[in-house]
Amino acid sequence: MASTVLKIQQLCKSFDEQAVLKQLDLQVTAEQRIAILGESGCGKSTLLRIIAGLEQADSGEVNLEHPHQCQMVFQDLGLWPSHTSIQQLIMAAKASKIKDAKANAQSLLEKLNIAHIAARKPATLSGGEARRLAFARVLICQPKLILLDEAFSSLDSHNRLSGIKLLQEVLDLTSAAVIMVTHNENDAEQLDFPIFDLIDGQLQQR
Amino acid sequence: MTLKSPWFVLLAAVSLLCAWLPLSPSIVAFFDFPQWLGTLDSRILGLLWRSIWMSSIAAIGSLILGWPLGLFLARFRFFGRSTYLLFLPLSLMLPPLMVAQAWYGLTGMSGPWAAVFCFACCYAPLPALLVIRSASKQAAASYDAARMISTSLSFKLLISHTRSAAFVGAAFCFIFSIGDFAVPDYFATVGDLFHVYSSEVFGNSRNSDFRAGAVSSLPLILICLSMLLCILPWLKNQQQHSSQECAQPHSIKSPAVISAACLTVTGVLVFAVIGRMFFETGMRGPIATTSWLQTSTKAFADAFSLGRADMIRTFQFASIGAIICMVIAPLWAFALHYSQGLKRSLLVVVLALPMLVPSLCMGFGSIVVFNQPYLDGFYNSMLLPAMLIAGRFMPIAVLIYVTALGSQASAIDSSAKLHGLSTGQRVYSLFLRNNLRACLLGGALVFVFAMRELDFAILLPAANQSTAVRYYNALHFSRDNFVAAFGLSISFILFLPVMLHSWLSPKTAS
Repeated sequence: MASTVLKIQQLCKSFDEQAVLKQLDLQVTAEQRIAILGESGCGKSTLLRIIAGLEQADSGEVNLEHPHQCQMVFQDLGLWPSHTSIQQLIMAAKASKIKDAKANAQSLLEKLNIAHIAARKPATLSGGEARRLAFARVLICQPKLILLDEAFSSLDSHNRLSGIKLLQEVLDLTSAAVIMVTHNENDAEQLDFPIFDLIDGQLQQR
Repeated sequence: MTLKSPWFVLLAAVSLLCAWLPLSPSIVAFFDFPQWLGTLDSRILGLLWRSIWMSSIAAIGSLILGWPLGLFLARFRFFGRSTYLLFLPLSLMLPPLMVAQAWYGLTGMSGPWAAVFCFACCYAPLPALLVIRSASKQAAASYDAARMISTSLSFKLLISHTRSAAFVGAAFCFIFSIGDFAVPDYFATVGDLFHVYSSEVFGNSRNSDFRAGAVSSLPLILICLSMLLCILPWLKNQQQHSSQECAQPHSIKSPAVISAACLTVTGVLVFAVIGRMFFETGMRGPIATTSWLQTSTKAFADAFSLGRADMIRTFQFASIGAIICMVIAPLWAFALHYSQGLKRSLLVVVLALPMLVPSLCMGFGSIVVFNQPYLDGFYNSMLLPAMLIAGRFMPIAVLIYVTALGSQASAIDSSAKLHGLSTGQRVYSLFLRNNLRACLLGGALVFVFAMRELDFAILLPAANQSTAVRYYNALHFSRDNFVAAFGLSISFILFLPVMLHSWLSPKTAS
């Protein structure tokens, strides 16, 4: 039986006395991939940020099997503007205590077909290159759980398809569990992820 | 705004009258510089060198105190954070002489190192405030991505992100320290005698030939100008506005440690100074018959009765100066916002240099230019100090306003242009209405800096009756109780705008 990488119990979170997450439960096993669907402002990103440890819950429990091996791809990617692509990967790898940081970084850039941007800073990258770099920076940390926050929300319908293709390509390179939040049902369907609806602060599997 | 626009002509006229005309003797004296270089001796070079190293170490000190404080206040949520944020600008507003007096009273320190410590304390809020501002512009996703990997990595990135801001703050500390003569003069009086280069400039300016003062101030002007040119690229970047969501303060595992560290630094910068000064209001000599409370009460009563006229006079010219800045700053900010390349760099130099040169230069420059028989009424009126205040401190008001302008969506102005609004309407109706708070804050800060201005106030008869000059004189006549009470009263008045701004600012969820 696959081990549990994330277990959430009775999670509650409110903003200005307005409850966003109410007694929410979720369990994710190793290598499982799920999509959480919900309207804007329903608490999807808040849930991810609580899992990532970037925000604190009001009550409830969030248990990560590997708390230091959870990574996130942000809606606006969160690339570090003053560092080149290779520097971003090396810094991330070293901070995650990954051996042979430089060699790993170069190999990952090649695998994602962005070896040519190694010496470039984020401001000079195209949208697709920046997205690949953001995925590379997550993968180099060898995560057990990847969180995707509205990964394709800023893309038009044509680029959205290539974005999804890229994500499939990236996910083939890792065995990490994935939680993707989105407000677009098509994204989840195209990736063939089981869908959970976030309605009234609770998750309901379809 | 083109060079021929009447608004640009108004801008140029105000800058010329308030800042560049009083600086003109120093600029004209540039032609005597080769001759002056010939008179250089080892004493002068020694003074210059002492000023440079003292200011450099003070700048490093301000960085050591201010940078971590700024990082903690910008990024972490902990007990007392809002209090530290409220008190942080206060040490910048305290007259440096008051800080010097308090630390002399607390530790008995004197000599050049005491002046260095005092400058570092006075100007540490500059790197701290600039770091807070820079950190608040860091993209949230970028910071959070680093936090996900490790806390130390996120802090490393934050340090790298705020590095330029911290160094610019330290550069300002250097500039303000190298032009200050009063603090070294105080520590030289209470301990071993030593001189700095600004004392030499002050001494020369007392001679009947003010050109000597102007010429000797040129090395300081050149140092400040080169410093300004170094920080110019950073000042340009300050206008760039990111459309991404910005990082917010977050909770941490050990808030007590961070809170204690911030309390220590704020204690050194503010609480120790205020506490000591308050204690000194009631200090009694060996033959005194009154209690501490009676002595203190009398000192405050004296401060208000004897210093009231000075306070009112300073209040008046500081207010006029602040009002001039509030009227002209929106125009300056508009001109800067829409200029690029060389034109923009020139505008920045024209705007900022009067604030960076030693204030003494404006003082004796005004004497040379305005002490004419046909200008007698103006020369002795409070309009002259008000005008100099506006000329010298305009960059503060402009910098605050231009930042507010930069964060505004460009679509607002584009639609105004498409609707055919004139430059005047856009500057004073559209933008000013949207950024009134920034304009008022700029005016309040100009008022605060005007209240503590000492250097040119000593030189100009029209500004002699000011709080800073009264404080300086009383300190040198060892009227310690009065000085402490008067200093605290001034501080309270200086602190009022900050408190009001803090109370009136909209509260955010963070």
